[in-house]
Amino acid sequence: MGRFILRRALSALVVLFTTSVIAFLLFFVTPGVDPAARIAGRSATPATLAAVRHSFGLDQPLPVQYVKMMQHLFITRDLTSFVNRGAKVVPQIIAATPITLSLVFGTAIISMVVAAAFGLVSAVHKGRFVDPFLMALAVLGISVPVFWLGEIANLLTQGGLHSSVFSWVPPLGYVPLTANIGLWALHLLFPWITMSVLYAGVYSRVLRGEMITTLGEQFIQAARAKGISERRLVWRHAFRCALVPVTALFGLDIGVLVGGAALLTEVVFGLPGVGYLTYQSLQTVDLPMIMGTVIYAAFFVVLMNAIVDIVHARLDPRVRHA
Amino acid sequence: MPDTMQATARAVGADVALRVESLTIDIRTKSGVAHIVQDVSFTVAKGEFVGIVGESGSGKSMTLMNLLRLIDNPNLNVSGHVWFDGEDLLALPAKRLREIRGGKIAMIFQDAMTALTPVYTVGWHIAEQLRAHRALSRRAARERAIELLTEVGIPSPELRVDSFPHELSGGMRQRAVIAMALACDPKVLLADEPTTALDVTTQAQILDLIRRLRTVHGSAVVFVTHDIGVISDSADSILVMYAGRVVEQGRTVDVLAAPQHPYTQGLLGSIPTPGASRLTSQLVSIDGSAPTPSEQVVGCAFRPRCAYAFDKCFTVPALRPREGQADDHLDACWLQRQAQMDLRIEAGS
Repeated sequence: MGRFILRRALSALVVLFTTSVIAFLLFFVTPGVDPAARIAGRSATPATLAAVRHSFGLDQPLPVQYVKMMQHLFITRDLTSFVNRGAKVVPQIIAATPITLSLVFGTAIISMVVAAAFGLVSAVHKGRFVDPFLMALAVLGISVPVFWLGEIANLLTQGGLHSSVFSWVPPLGYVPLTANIGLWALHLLFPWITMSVLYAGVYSRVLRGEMITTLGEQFIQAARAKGISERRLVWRHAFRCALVPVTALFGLDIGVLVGGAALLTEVVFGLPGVGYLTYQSLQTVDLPMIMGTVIYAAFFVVLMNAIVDIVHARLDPRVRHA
Repeated sequence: MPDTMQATARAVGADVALRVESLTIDIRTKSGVAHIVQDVSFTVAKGEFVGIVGESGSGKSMTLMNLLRLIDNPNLNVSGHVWFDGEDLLALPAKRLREIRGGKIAMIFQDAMTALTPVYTVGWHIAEQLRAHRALSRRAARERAIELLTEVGIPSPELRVDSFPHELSGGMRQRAVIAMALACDPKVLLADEPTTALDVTTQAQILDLIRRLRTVHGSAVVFVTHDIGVISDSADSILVMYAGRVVEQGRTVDVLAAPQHPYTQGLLGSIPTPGASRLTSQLVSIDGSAPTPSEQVVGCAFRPRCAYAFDKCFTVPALRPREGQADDHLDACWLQRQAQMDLRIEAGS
């Protein structure tokens, strides 16, 4: 286990280093950007400009510049946004993280429960009416774009029906979990549902496929020959085995989502999460912010990868010693 | 077929562990209905060892699996009767059938690797089997599992009980599966080619184990194999299956001494005898290959490959005893014994 963690940590470092180098190089390939001038701000005096140039090592070779940039980004954390002078990159991202985590983990739970129900029922009743019906629903869920569904949800809950049926829906925005758990959940309810429609669709199809494969395995017949109930057969034998590849896939998706891929939902519902931050910084070519969010995304993808590996080994003894 | 019934009822009344009557299995496919098993009948006496021999696709495994209705396929149509303890397993409600599965009739499989759920330990599997039919605590089930593992000859069972299937060798895995199957002292043990995936030495050990445990637990055994040599020493009686039908059945001694059906003769002729001269005893091979269930052969399914086929063979022959043979030695061939002899001499073999 110790060796495993060490190996994962080393490979994580390599990935993060590579990502940060690429993100850093964006500064120098973006046309029309003088990093020093942008960092110093529009109204900077030549003296400030020189100070910035020196502080960021911009008069020195690229490797030195990279090290100084990372220092300002992560250690002194005083690298500011190009657009919003008061916003420092790393503190800004850290502040946005709980919002994204709330959105993603709520979605993960809802979509997993729905996917498990759909996938299981479909697989067990393969070929009967309920199976194509649920799977058509799943395809619909996958096909409906998040931004469209989100806007429709907003139109209904914030628009015409807000004064009647949906009067309980709070305005768009976010309330921290620590401030008021009820309001937190209420604000996130429609974002969760919107995003879950996609992931529940995807994973009910994946799970159905895995379940059908597993139910065709001989150990299912062998288990049936033991005289256990069909319920136990489905849950303890088939579902337990089908869960292994599904969890692996799902973990990676969560990593990508936490990394900022939930941006469509965040933008539509006005949730100031990391995805929203990424979206804003991309629109305004806010290079420090882009650099920060890119490294942040890489960090979560790497982290979730490692967690997936550990969970995978817990779920499947065959990979434990590999 | 009154004479078939009469003959298969060799073991009657209280001595019968399992009686299969006219088991027929059809499967609906896109290209029509395929007959996988047709009209198979046999009786297993208490404690008896019955061997079912046939090549791949002969329907022998399908027969075995469907005795306990293990295959969950809506396109499968199983008819006939499987009598056990006065109940027809094919007509039993699911709940009652579950009490019999594993509890009264247990099964072991060809590949123990695929017969065990890969994410659970050997001990978990045995405990599940025990707890499905006995009210046992977790701890008691585990202790019983260790005892069973000891009984089937697994070294350091208190360690192995926590091993995962992939951590054991093929032979050890099969032993563990046998331990699981015998956990509830079943009256009948169904064995689907349990030695096929093993090397010859391990094969002999496993077969030995099954024979020994059969006496200890008093279970009857129905052993399916494609290798008649594997069971010729162990089986009390034998069924030879070809293309979904039984072509010959009877006591092993009778069938081996005087095989009546040309297919059985071919099977037996293909086994080398140790020490036999290569000049005087030649191994027989049967030309061609067995029809698949979707290929419908008119009449006797063996006809296209049979050296003795004649016009009568375009009608399916019924299983029946022969004059000069034991009453319970049946075969399904139109040929008269004398005619067979003559033809064989003619063919110069």
